Amino acid sequence: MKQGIVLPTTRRGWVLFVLFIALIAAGCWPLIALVNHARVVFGLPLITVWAYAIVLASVVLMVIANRLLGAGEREDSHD
Amino acid sequence: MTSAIPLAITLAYVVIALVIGLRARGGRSMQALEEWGVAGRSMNAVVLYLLIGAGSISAYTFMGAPGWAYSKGVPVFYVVIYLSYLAIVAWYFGPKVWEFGARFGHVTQASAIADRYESAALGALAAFVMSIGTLAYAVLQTIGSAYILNVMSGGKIPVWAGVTLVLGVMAIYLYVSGQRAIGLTNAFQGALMLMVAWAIGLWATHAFTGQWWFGDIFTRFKAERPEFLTLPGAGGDMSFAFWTTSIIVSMLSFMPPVWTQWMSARSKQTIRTSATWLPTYYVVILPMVVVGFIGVFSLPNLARADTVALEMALASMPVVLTGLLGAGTLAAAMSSCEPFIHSAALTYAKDILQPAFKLSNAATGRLARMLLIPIMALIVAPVAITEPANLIMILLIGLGFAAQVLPAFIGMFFWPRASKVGVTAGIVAGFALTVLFTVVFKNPLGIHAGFWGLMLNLPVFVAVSLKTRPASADVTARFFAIARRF
Repeated sequence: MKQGIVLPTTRRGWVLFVLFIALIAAGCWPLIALVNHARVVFGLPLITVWAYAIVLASVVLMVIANRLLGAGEREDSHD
Repeated sequence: MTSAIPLAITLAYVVIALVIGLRARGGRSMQALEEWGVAGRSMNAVVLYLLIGAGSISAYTFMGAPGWAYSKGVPVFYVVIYLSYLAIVAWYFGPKVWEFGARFGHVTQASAIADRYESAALGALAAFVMSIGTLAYAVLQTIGSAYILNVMSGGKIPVWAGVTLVLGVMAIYLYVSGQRAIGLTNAFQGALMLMVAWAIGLWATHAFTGQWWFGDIFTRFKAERPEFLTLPGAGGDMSFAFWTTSIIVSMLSFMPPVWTQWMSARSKQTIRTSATWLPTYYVVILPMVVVGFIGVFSLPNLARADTVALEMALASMPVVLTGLLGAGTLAAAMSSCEPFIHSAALTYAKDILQPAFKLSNAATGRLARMLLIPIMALIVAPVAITEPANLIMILLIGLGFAAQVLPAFIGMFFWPRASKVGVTAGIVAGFALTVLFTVVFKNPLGIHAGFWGLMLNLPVFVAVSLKTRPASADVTARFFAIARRF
């Protein structure tokens, strides 16, 4: 039994891992400071638009991940 | 308030929830713990979406989110961000937790911890301490429920009667239908909340600006009160550090009821599907937050910020909308309260009393259902009726502790070398520091106390684990055969 830390084992897994980390960073400092302005966009405060952009990006990223994992699982089943 | 219509609508919601909860059983036997505890692992993606969505939108969110907007402004949107991240957490960990449960027979979070670390004592410790935060949360929701009934009845339903009514209704359908009741009532409550929040938000916007979108409100804020549109907010207390650490700590708090929800899914794919679309549910927060912003101009002198939506409803909304707000807020409170009480009963029976008294699975199943009554009657109801001033403090410590259990999950999903002594040492050190930085030195340097706890907890966990014996090879092998897949 390997005792090392669990990390992605495929290129797909690494791409998803980096994208998920980037998405989490998008909601935190220092990136949140970039949208910390008293501006109104689409009728909403800029930070609100950013928060809901993260909501949308979360859904899109998980949809992509489902497709990639689905493809990976199909490939695995052919092996 | 003179009209009886708002109270009638609110009570009609309670009756509908009771009927749905009772019918959720569908003729099944609830004797088996797996059936009562995790609905026989049968929930589909739509029910799971509404179950997790409604469960995470509490009375605090329905009343507190407008309150935060009223007193602070945009800092309230950290909730939207961390809830989206929780969906990602569910997407990654949920299928693994489900597979642990299905393969190894876990029905609670603590039973998974006990199994991974080969320690019933660590499982019992995790069950007990997690239940402090769990029950404090349930008490807060019960107080919110009783408050709504009191307001909607014009004071005719006193707090004790509201607490009794709400807990009594939940006790009946939880006892009869268990997790299936939670699934179907939350689905109903989730749909109701979504509809009510947008109806209230759009009505308030139109009444205030003559428009159906929010642009005029925020254009006025930009001109007159721009501090509401940026961090640290109008209260000046949401620094970048507190924003960021609040999101991270909230994201890493694996509360036991969420674990139970994942294990109730029909399959791993069901969890992935519901988690994928879960962030879309959080559009429910936006209109209620806008109500809070409108209150800054229309109700400038409120004593309590978190009453802004109710005060606006009572002052100016049609009685039907006021009733729907009462029903929606009560739905938010009950949908968050019932999974937490159910989870506490389940884990007390399964993880503390079963190993302590060597009970059979059948006896443990009966005991879990029976425990609902003493938990409600002897803990939740008395505390809710007395409305202790320091309950928020208890809850914060409870949630701070929830984050401190993180090493147990690191050892379950990422690091086979983790040992039970390392996990215990990390939890104890992290919890002690969290309590210290919650009660004595509050959030030093503007950083969340739970985050400080983790900064101590994690190095202690790693160092002690490396010096002590890990779990046996066959246990780590079967856990990591599942955990390594990505």
